[in-house]
Amino acid sequence: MPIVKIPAPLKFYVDNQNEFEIQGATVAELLENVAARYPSFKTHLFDSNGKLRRYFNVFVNGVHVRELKGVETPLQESDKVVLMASAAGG
Amino acid sequence: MKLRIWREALAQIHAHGEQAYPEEGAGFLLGMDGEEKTVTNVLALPNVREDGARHNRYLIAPEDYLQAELEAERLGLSLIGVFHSHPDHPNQPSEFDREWAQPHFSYVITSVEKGKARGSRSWLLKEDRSQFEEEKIEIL
Repeated sequence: MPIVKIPAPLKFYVDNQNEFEIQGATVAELLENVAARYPSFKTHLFDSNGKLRRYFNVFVNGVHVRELKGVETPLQESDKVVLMASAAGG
Repeated sequence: MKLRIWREALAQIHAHGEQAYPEEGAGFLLGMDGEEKTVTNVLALPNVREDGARHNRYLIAPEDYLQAELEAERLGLSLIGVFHSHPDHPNQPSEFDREWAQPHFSYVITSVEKGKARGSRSWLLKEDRSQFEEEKIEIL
């Protein structure tokens, strides 16, 4: 099962875990499963249109998903998905 | 809600805002998390937004973010927030700040007028992400 790693300031939403196993055939499916398992995280994970918030960078095995197939990147059982927050503003 | 901050750390935030002027300067707040957050160290980092955007936008590179996490770990501290400056604008968060904010992070904003830091305020995103709430800064 793929492993997802959560940014430290946000682990409060996922039972204080840094990372955990969760199913998902694609990155999008995995993130949906994270939101389903931890509903209070959903608001911070997705915007009002259901898209992953822009302050997240997502890496699969160290490669940014923009260099793969975005959130439609397929996942294998042993993949590691890292959610990394951005520090940005104006 | 209160953010305690060492005087030297606040001085570094102001100095970085002045150095970056007329662009925005930014970095991380390091310290102790908990009921009362205390900032003991700051880590000023490059604003990597493109030319022409840095006067009203900031972005810290993911590589620098990662290094900041490692530095905090090395010091036995936590990343507890982000600071940035508003050149010639009030030290209140913009809509863009809200859109990009992380919950539980303190956002210290410094107003820099004509190159001089004029004061900082700290802000915390509400749980429903609708707005920021101010947290009082206590200087130690």
